Amino acid sequence: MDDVRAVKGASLTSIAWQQFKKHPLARIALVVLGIMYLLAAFADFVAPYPEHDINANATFEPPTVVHIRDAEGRLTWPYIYTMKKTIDMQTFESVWTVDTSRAYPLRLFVRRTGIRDRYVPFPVNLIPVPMRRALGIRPWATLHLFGVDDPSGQVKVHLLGTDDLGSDVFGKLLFGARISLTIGILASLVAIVIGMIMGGLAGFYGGWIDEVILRFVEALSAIPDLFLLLTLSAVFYPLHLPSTTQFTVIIVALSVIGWGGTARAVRGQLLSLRERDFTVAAKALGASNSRIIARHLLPQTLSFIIISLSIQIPGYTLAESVLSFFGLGIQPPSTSWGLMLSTAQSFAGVTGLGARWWIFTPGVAIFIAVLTWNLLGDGLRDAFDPKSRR
Amino acid sequence: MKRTLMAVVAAALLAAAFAQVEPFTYPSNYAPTLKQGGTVNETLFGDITTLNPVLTSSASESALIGLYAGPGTVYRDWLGNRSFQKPDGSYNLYWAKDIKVLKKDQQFIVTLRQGWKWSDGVEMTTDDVQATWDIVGDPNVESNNYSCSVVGDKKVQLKILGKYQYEVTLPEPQVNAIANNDCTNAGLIPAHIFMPVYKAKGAAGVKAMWGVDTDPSTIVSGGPYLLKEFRAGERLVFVKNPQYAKQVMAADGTGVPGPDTWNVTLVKDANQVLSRAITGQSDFYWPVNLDQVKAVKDAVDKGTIKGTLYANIGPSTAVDFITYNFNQTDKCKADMFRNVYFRRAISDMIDRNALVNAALGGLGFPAKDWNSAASKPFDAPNLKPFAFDPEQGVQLLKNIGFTQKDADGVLTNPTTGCKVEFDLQYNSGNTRRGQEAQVIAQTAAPYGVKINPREVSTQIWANSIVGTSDNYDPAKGRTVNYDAEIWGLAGGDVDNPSFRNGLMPGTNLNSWNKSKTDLQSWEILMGQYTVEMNSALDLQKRVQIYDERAALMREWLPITPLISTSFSFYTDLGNTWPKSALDANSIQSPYRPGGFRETLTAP
Amino acid sequence: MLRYIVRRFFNLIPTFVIATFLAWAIIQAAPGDFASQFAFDQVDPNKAERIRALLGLNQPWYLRYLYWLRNVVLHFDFGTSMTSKASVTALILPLMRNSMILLLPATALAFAIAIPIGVYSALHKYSFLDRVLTVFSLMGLAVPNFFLALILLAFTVGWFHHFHWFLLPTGGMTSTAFSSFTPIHKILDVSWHLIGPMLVVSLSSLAFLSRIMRGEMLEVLSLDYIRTARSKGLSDRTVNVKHALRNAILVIVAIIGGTLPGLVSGAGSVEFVTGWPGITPLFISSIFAQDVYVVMALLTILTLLLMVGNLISDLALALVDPRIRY
Repeated sequence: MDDVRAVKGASLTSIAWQQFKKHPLARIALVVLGIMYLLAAFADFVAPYPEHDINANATFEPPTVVHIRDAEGRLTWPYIYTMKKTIDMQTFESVWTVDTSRAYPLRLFVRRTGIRDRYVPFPVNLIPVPMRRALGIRPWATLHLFGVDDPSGQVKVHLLGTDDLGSDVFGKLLFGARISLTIGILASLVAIVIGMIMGGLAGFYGGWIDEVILRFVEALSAIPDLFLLLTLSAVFYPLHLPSTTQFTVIIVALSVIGWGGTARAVRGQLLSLRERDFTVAAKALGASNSRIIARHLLPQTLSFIIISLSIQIPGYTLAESVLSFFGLGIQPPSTSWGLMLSTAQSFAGVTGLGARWWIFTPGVAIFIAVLTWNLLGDGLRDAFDPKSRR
Repeated sequence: MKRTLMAVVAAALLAAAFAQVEPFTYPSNYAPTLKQGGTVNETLFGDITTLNPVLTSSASESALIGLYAGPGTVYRDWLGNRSFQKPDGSYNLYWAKDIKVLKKDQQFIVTLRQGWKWSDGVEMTTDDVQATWDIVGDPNVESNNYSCSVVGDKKVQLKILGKYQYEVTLPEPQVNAIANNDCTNAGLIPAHIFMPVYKAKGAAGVKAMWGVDTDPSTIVSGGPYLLKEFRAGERLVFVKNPQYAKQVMAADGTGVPGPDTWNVTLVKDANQVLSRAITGQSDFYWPVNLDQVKAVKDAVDKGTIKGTLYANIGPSTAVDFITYNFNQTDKCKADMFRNVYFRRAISDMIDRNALVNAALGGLGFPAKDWNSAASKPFDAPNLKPFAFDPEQGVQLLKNIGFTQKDADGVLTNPTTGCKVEFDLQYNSGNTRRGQEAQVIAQTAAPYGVKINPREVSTQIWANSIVGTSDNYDPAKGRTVNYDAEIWGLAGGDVDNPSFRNGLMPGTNLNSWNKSKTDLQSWEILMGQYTVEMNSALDLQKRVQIYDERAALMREWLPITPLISTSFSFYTDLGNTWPKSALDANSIQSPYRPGGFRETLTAP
Repeated sequence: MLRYIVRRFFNLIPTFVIATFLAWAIIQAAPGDFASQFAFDQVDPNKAERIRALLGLNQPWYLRYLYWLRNVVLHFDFGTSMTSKASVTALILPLMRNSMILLLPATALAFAIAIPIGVYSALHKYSFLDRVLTVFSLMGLAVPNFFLALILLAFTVGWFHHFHWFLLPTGGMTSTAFSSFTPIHKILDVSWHLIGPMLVVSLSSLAFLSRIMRGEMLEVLSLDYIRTARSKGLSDRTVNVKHALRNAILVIVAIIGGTLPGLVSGAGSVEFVTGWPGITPLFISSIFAQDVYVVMALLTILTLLLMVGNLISDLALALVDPRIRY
């Protein structure tokens, strides 16, 4: 027994880490993902303006040019000029004229104290609002990473321009990341928990429980994913739900289509493990069923879980954007990358793609997130799966 | 026996030989100067799920199938006064040779032109009228035109008086009964094709006819075109109906010209419609927002496509507006919504130019009335545009007791505890209204007014509006206990600008108040104006009442108008219409009076 | 073998019933029904109730499921569409065919690219090219399909504006003059229209397939008999080609049946953006209109396709894999 435990301790952590380190792409992916999640967590701080800040007179404003050289060409503290839109009624072109009469320097760590500018900083904002109220926690923060030195608050810097409502795309990307980057994790966690419970029950007890669960899984997986997902989302759609509930609904819908695979795999693992020596030994020693499942069988499937998590998460991130394309995803005023991208697409996407590339940046964000999650998944699989180790 | 049959056949042949075709001739202002022959390519956003004119459901479907449905009795003169009626009260007759009104808007006798034929050579007579009435009026057929056959619970009566004459009697007078309650105008169907099936298999048999798997060559046309090809989800190809040219003439007496082939490509994505237009694969296109107008303009300027863009020629027929639910069960909200100063305050806080800039990209018009300015002469010229004056709004709210701000900065009434906060809902998928709601909410927020934009399913959105006072119970509230909603009406109907169904107390589309008893004096007055307008025959008089009512509505704001979209039109078919007549209401197919409008104007 | 086929076939029945019942229950869980949309009817306020009674929507939902199932099983009758009143089968069959015209070549293309990538990556694990190929296939996966299709459309329109001729069509499955073409011309025309959507669909499933190939190849390569073969002194090439590759083909046979529905899903948004006349637009509009029978028919047929696909895969596997005995 001692031997087994010692080997296990070494294999799951240190061996996996050793293996993982051999995978340079996965290491890069881990760093990139880490940065993305950090940015999402501190979105209120990094984004220069609040999530719902709109400006009807500055829709589709191109990215602000940040100047670092003054008129004489000397290096100087970064500054920007303001821009004003007029529509040429002959060509229907939106003409942006730069007003160079006054330069507005950028500032780091800007405080804005307007009632709509304050925010609840991370990680306090993870506590649900009613609980915060009950506990009397109300820490408002007013500090932003950067901003324009302009007391009137009218001059704004938009690193990635503005969208159809005149909102800052850079800021919205960060706020949207909160939903797009967590929806996958939460949905796959829920799916895996359901899958493990069902698979565990099926695999351990066998008999009619196994039969029923297996049939159910089979039936569920027989319906093509997208169509099942759309049907599920459409059920909740007419219910007039607030956006937080919609978020939950999407997670539930995604996990409903995803738990089957996990359940089947866990069941398979258990079936093979059940016959192994240590289970038989534990049973002989009089361990209860639940103890055997908890202590011996489930840890064995840990590597499997890590691998399937990393495969499911990017899939769900993409599924979220597809739901938005069909109008069944996150609804405004909430923001997600999928919603931003499909909204951008609906505004004359064919010609806008070149002329207004900045509103399509959520596509790039999705691309990076999905790519890095997949690369990380590759690394993790190689690390945890003994067969693919080198 | 045999001899009798032969005699009958001979008589029929003789009758056919001598049957005089009584053609319809276009008025001279409908001069079809359009290209002759050739092909027209059209791209349509939507799908076709049936080829059966009885069963068409969407506007685009009806418009396409209208190309081969039989003729109506009257037509709407879009280039004249846009009515089925001439200024002198007589009708614009199409297939009807004469309409004799026995009781105004209730009973009339229609005499049909003789010698009009279906594409297979069978003459159109009152047999077809009877068949259409029987089939469309059978509730089991589930025709979307069923409503032409009933007024409330009572049936409209059809009496056939002869081969070319029939009489229609309504249980009670209806506005524009000749166009709306004569089922002949719901799309005439060939009796010799439909009746045998209907008699043998009943409603189910009719429903199984002319589905999407029908061989197009078996479809009989009574309109300008024949269906030649149908590819599910992809394309319809129409070719000219030679029969039609014999019975519908241009002003100079020649047959109505037009393309020989008409290709309609079906797509389901707005980007597809646009890309087909700017690569010269569509002969006409209705750009809706600035992006689309600009894309077409670019392509025209570069010479990639050869047509003409009539850009931003005026407001479209639709106006978006806000209405509040006076019947809210929440007392705070109901009192607030019922208070005219609240409604004025919110209206003051709406920056309509910002709405145009954000929701329409700068191409659109601030509205000043619930009816579009395109609906001349019902465009309320005396109304001033709304001013954007949020400070004034704050003052108004202060005057009605909202004097303090709470911790979140929302205006509060210290004595009642009520807050200026409400949901503003709009129908899902309508990005324009979504943007309007967001901009309104964000503009009002700094002034202590908390508006929560809410996207709801079209069903909830619709259920919030509709319902008559008969079904309304003040204790339970409305079907949907909503706060406020953005919706709109496509106006422009000069035959019925009174909007009797919405502006009278307790009517089906009266979205603010379903109560018939709990009314304020202005609501009663508005109802009186509406009744008066409905019975005023003289156009001048109608306009006058309309303007008075518009002034009253401006004062009490049951409806808070927001914006109209801009109307633009691209075509490479040559001079479709005189430019002076081009506006949102007049874009019409020159091939047929009235019938093809929906395809050409629906976005 | 025959007994196995029969047993597998009968195993499909409960799966089919449970799957359709689940789908039915999910659809019925949505509030309102098809008739609700007519509550808005201005002229005829009783329309909603009348239609509800006519369509039997006022009956309990499980009863309606039983009626539906009876009709499907006994008559292969999927009912009539509530929207168009047409037979559902007539409505969806041509669209289903169009979807298949897109999917089968896309699947073939995806496999044609994925197999060499997977095999190479497995044989040259962690080589530079392995990494490049992995990243390349992942990149196709990482762009949402509808966005990829839009990029393609923008490229097509841009090309036309620059050169004034079409490199690729802007959308659809056929040209407007299609019906007047010769048979060969027709095939060429559809193929030309197929290029864009096919590339998008297969690019997005490439990563999935090549990774499965790679994984399964690695599995096979680590098996004992391959090791034995190597230890016997056979050359790497012989081992790889004769043993590993043959087993890899088994893998393809095993998964090919299961991949089709995944591709149907992947093609969903592509059909919209590229104007391909497939089933997804009808599915979406039916789901919003709560046109139960159309939704059910599409779900059922796709489910059947998947089950039959899997069955064929399994049977083929049983035929070719000497290790499987039944």
